[in-house]
Amino acid sequence: MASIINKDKVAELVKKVSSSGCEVFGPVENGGVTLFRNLDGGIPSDFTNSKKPPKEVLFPQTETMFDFEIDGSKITALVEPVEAQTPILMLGVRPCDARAIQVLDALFTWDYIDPYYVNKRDRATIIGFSCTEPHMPLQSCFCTSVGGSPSSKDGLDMLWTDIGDRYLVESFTDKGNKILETGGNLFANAAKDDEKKTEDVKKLAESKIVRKLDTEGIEKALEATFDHEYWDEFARRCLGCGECTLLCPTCHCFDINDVITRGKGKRERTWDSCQYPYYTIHASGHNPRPDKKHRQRNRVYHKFLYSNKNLDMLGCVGCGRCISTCPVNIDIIEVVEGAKEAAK
Amino acid sequence: MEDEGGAKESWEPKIIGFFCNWCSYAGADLAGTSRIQYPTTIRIIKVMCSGRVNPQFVLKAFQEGADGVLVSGCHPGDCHYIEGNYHARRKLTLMEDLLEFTGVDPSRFQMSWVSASEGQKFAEVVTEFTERIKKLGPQTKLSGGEG
Amino acid sequence: MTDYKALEKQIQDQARQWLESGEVKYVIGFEKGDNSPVCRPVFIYKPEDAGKLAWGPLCNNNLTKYLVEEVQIKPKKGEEPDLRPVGIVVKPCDSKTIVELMKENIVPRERVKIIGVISEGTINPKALDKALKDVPLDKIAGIQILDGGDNFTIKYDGEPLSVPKDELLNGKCKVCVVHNPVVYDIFVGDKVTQIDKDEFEDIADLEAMSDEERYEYWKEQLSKCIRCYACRDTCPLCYCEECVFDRTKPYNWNEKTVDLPENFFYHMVRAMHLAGRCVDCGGCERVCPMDIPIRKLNRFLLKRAKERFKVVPGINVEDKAMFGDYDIDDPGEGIK
Repeated sequence: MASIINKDKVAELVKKVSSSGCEVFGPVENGGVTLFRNLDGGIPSDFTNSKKPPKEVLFPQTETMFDFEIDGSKITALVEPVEAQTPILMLGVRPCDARAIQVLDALFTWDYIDPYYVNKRDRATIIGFSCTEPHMPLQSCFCTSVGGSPSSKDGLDMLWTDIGDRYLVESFTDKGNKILETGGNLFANAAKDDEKKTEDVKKLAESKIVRKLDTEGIEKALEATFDHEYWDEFARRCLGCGECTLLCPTCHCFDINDVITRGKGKRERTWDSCQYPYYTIHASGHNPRPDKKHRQRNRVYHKFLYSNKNLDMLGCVGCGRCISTCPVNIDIIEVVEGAKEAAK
Repeated sequence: MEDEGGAKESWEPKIIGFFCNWCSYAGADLAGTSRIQYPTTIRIIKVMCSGRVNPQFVLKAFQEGADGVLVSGCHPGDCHYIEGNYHARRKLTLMEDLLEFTGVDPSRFQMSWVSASEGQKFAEVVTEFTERIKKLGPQTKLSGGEG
Repeated sequence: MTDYKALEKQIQDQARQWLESGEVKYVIGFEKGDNSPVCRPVFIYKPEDAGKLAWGPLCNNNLTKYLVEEVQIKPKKGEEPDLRPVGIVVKPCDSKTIVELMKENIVPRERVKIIGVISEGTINPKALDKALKDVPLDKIAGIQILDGGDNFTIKYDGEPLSVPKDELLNGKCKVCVVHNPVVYDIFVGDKVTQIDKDEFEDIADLEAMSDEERYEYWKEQLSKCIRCYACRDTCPLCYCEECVFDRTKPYNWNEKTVDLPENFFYHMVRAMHLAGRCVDCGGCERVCPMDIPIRKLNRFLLKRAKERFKVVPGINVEDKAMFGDYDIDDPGEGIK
């Protein structure tokens, strides 16, 4: 049974949830770009998607793992078990990004349970917003080609769909039901008409996704083209800036550093990118991925081949961030199509 | 970080000084041997020439928690390397401008010309600068609030 | 008014001619994207591919970055390096970059053959995206843009759009005073009369603020920085073999931590490294995924360099590098 919530009641819900001791994150306009930050009021209804993916709530760009003290040659690590309990609510996650969180879930519990991520993930309730205008700058999203849709419920506890002055609310999990409970009379039962409207909105949004990628045979094509000169061609113009990976909702590489100031230190992890030469360089000075072509190839392989093999799911959710931000128009759809062409 | 109120009285600024080997460092030395009193707030790093001071050094000092940075070299025309202090002047005045433009208080940065015979001037510069920094309080903008 | 098609034809013809005669190794230019109206860098090796070269207001990149890469390639052992020049298509601002690169002895003049094209401004893709809001999504890749004086005319299957240039132009183009290439082998287009005055009006509002307001402004902007270093990676004047921000030995200047103090440090040092060199091609700001007004830092130092030391980079190869030079009478107010 679906419910509805009026748009002007959302701020009240956020307040109610926060006052129950829950940290609420949502898309917030921050110096001209939309980012997932602490939400203390309503939520803009006209945002397309956040510039930085919401994964940063669960997997911050820089995260302190533990502190340590240095006294002469004696170093004491102050490791504390990760056991924070405050619940987290992520409001306004787009369905593509929610599917990306599923990839991260699989990754961070794959061969090692990552306590930092898992702890936050267990506490998090994710409320998705169906896309009504699935349109990143200069049309680049393609979720329907990689198994998603503008109203996919994968990885979500709730899905809200904008139907004018209100959202139609669907809850799929206990965590979602708990929000319904907390909201109480802020939610009302949906009328037949609302449900009909929601179906229309969802269908219309799906029809607005014009970019398509045929995933058929990608794995085979990539396996066959590892040493193909094709990779030279397009990677020549790559700047190696790594925007494509830092803004990717499924990218998860990090680097661990010790930051030491005056007798105190902290061990931190910070997002890293396979597009940087320093990512793979060995202590010997040898770099197994010396050129931009190797690094670009790795990105594509990781999304469409390695991720499939290791986690049994595609590493790309079609959010389109890498396409719309690339300063030199490297378009992952074209790249994959090109690789398929080269394999022939 | 110190508490407000009483603790503020006892707060002593940390000032990093980049002093050239030939003039200013010798000037500071002279102040010491002449027993001229000057504040203990300054920690001097000896460089061969003020021209060696990369603007990055100054910014890094702020980042590591310095409340003020003082760069001192030979008077114009007296540089041991003929022109090092002219280069320093170009680089560092522009960096001071940048501190102003980013809203990081530029008065926390000071340049001075102190010759090997100016022990008295050295003491004056440091005293005055320390007074100024004391009024401004701890520098937190670039150090991330550790004070 | 610029006739982009005519310029495009001239560029293609010149590139073809150079490639046929073997005078150049290859030509760096722009091509139209397959699925986007925005032009992207392309490398043309064969004369028959010269027709791919495109020209228009969406040719945003500063291609001289690839020129630097070309001259920095070390030949393999025992291999005779191919030292033939490389052809390159440049806008006026990019040509200023070549002047700086020659000044700094990075790109020797004989290693490059320059097709200098006039430009009266390029379009910011983010602004274009807003203007195209009502264009059907499947038509966007195929739009054509014409110069209509004070407007850009955007043509597609439907009713053409007319958008005021002010809404679309890149910030740097609105204040640019150099519309003709300053260094070139072939001049493409008709010389544009240019005003010779840059009043730095675009940073006046920031300068008028108090220190505290300015700090708040930069705090908001720089806290967004994700330190992807795209501004550095796209900058043709950032050509160090090992960047100070990548160095970890012997000393880590900039921690990997992404927080406000580190971001401040990064942006201030980056700006200082470009002081007196930056020609305001606007690449850094255009590629910034977080829309940080990086150019404002560069512009400010450009202004102060002009006021203090009368240095204007990117105009004359004979000029000395700002920090490689000094004047006995340089102002030093505030020095005790």
